[in-house]
Amino acid sequence: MTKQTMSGGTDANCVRKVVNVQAPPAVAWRVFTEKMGTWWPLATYKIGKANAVDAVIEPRVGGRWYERGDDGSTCNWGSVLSWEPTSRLVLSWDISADWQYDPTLKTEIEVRFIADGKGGTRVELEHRHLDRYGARRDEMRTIFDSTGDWGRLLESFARTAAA
Amino acid sequence: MGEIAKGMHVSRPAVSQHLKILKAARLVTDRAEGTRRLYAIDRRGIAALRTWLEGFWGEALTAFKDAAERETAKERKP
Repeated sequence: MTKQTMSGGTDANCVRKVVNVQAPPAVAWRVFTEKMGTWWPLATYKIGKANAVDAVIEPRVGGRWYERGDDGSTCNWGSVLSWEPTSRLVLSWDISADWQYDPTLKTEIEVRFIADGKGGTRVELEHRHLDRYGARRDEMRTIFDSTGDWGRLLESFARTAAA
Repeated sequence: MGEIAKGMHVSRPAVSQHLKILKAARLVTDRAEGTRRLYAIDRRGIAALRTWLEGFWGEALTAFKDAAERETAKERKP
């Protein structure tokens, strides 16, 4: 992935986000990779039956990315595709339309940590290859359109976006 | 439809059947133009997915920013 595509035009098959963090890249990297459980919204975004208490990225290429439940169980989310402390991380996100782990479904999340020259970090995130959801996108839409938890979440996102 | 079938080593009815499945899965849309039927990629499914992920990553990254800033403030303390 080149810098050019990261900042390039709209691509329907990916989502890009940027956040400016008032912390140096080394801290931003550490909090993102080692302390994901402290900020990931585990109450709502988890796939196991147990209450999720941590989100873990094993610090190496090929490492697992998973949630840990309060009963000690773990549920895979994906794996580490690139591990370049403290500047670049690529994860596979293998969560299917019905919110289950599916190792055959590989979407990618690339995160770049760029020093902003003022002691802070520009964090760029790209979630790509969304087209790999293929025919199952329709199920995703059913989930989004439902009035259950996901539907309510969507509504709250919409309210936040509109505020 | 005829154009799609022409480029493949499968029968026209087989292509028609495949397009029907893609349409049912909302991966393609179709419209009639005279005697021809034109197919296009259906972007609505992916748009809903993107909208959801935009919101999700927005929320997650805001929480991450807060956590990283708390962490660096903690480390700066003597």
